[in-house]
Amino acid sequence: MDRHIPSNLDREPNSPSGWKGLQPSQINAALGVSCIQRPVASLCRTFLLSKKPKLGLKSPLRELLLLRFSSSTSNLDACIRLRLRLRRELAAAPAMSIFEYNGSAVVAMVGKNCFAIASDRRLGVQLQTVATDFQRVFKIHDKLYIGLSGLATDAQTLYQRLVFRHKLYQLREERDMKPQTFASLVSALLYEKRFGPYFCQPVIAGLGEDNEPFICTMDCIGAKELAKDFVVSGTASESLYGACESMYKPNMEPEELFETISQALQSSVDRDCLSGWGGFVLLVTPTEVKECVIKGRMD
Amino acid sequence: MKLDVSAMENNFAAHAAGGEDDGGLFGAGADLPAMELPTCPADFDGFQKETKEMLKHKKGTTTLAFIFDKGVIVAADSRASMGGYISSQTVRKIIEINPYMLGTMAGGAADCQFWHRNLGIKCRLHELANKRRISIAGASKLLANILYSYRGMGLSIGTMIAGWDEKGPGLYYVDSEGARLMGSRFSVGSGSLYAYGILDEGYRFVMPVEEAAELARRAIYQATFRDGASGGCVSVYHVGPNGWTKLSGDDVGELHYKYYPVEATPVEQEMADAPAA
Amino acid sequence: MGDSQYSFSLTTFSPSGKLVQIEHALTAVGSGQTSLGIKAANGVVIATEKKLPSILVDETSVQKIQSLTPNIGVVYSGMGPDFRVLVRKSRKQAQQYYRLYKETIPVTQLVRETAAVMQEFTQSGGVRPFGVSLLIAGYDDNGPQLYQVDPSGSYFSWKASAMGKNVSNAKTFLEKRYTEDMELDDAIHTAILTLKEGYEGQISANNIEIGIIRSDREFKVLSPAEIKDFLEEVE
Repeated sequence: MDRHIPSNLDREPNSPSGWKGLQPSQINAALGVSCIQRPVASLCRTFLLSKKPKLGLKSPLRELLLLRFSSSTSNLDACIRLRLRLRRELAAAPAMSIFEYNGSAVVAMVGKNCFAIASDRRLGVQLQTVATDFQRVFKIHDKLYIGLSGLATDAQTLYQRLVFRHKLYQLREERDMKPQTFASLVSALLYEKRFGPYFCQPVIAGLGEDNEPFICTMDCIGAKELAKDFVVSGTASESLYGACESMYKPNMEPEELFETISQALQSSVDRDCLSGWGGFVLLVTPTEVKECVIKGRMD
Repeated sequence: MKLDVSAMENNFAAHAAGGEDDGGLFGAGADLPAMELPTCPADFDGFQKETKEMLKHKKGTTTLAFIFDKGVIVAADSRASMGGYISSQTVRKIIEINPYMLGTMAGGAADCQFWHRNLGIKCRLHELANKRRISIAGASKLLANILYSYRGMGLSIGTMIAGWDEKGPGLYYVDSEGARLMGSRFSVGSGSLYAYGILDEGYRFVMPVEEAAELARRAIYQATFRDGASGGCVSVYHVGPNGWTKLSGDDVGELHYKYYPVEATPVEQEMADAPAA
Repeated sequence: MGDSQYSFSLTTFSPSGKLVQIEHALTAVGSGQTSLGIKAANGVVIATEKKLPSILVDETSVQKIQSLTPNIGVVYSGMGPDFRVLVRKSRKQAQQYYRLYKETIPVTQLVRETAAVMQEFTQSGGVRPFGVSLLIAGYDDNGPQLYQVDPSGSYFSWKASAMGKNVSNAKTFLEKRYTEDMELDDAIHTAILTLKEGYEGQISANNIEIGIIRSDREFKVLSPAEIKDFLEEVE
């Protein structure tokens, strides 16, 4: 994927470089925009006009310029190679995903006539831990819960909107939503913001009609992904997949399910810098709900 | 967005030419490193960039060291991370250069390990040549000079050289940007700010070794709590007139509940307990 | 609605507290062709007369009973064109519900939405009330259901109801014939008899319409051939 390269040609008006005063078109001509693409050309301009154009002997920019001025047509290949290198270097610049800003881990598992949903308790600002009692698993009704990983502010806002919609539904239809119905509602709500999404990856878990467990997850714009065994999301999702894949067994009784999901969560967040600091586990059977804060490593 | 091209300004020709020195790294007396540089005329900058990217990995760290009346305390966590992934919880970040000198490790693991070992060799050679142990000032300067000569080439080291020499306890901060600072307390790494908080608050020049060790332990612990990239175990070393001793190595997982034994916080239900309509 | 400051509602209260427009709409319904519905134990039937202005009209092209969703059907008394508007709006509403929840809309919800539209047309500027009453028949998780919606937007659930020209006679007839444990086939017979009672002329398979829904939750408009079978049973 290509990173968008903004043209900030005019940012340094007092450039001491010899390129000062040249029109963009002139510089473009010098750089040979015919062979280097526009973004790269604009980048080159930026550096040539910047306060201290730090061009090393072997820098791709300098080479590119030398090649252009050597007026040899056989240098076209070299130009293209250099251009590709420049672009690669730009793409390699580290970028933080907004999904990883606060750090999170959410997992849900299905057992025999029951399900469990668990999350970590950390709220961080990148690497800095700000709180260790953050809630990411929310109740919709007695047998329906949603875990929201990703950006904390969006998780809270989305939760509020979902509760609002569910309450309206309850008033209108005089019944609770089925988990499947709720999942569709979440999906529709997320897709409404297709071009400015909530930076959340929801995990929905509930007991449906006849106490049939239902779990599902979706991406931040509402693509549903149903599963029969477990679903995971958050910054620790890779580790969670590994842990769940090896620890999950079908048709677990509630006690064993509780143990398994806790172990899976704990061992996963211990491999993730951005989540952990204790866990929250919720076990739902047709007759009771068990909530539990579990201890964990606090580093 | 700006591209950082500062790494590209060096003229490598001078270094690359030094191929006739068969003594290599161990060429005695040479202050300049004689490490062979790769010959890759086609894509040298790309190689450099890749090297730098490789070294970005093991970065999250908290290390600290301070001088007090009974010597030097050195402490560190043990986590290694690659981005958000914790690649190890059992890294030794305090490197034993010789029985009187310790180095701490922050930044690139390989860089730190290699140059500390290299420093150990140089210190031993100095000892053999001069029939006396090298001073901490001297050792740190050897390292700083090496690092300065590689400046801009992608080395990533933030280290403290701590030990005991003829003048008593010594402590220097040296980094790959070329800095070398003498001081009585330092902390290095992504968790250093948190560690400084505890350290500055609890530091006194005169205190028992046990209290000093506890201060260091506490400072590292607090850093591991707040900093996502620090964690694992807290190792504490003391360097006195008879050389260094390792005082403790505690798992943070247990240390937290030692510091805060009652962890009976009820479930926060502020938002979840909206009564079902 | 209404770009002009003069586009106020046509339905304005009279000094005596009546909304005359709505009463007029009800009159329009009352002079429309008779429709009726019966909720049986295992399904619902709705039926209506289909009197055409001339024998030259192709009766197969007239469909007075429409389905809104696969499990909900509707019939009207009053103005045919107004009915079409309501059917279009209701179908759209049902599809919107399905798009949101991936679940078919419950009968009560669709009735409420439809009634809301009809109410809105009693209060908005620049529009008139609908000149129809609806009988909505459906079968969902709550069993068989029959609703009547009036031009004012009010709606009730009925065991059996009638509307249109012959409403009072038909209702009396239904009151006499209705039983709680009635099966759908009995209900269809009763429906036919009720229509026959008030019909000016001879009823046939071509001048009445019948829609039924059973526990299979598939609303079906009976074909003339099927109606003929029932008519023969009634004879």
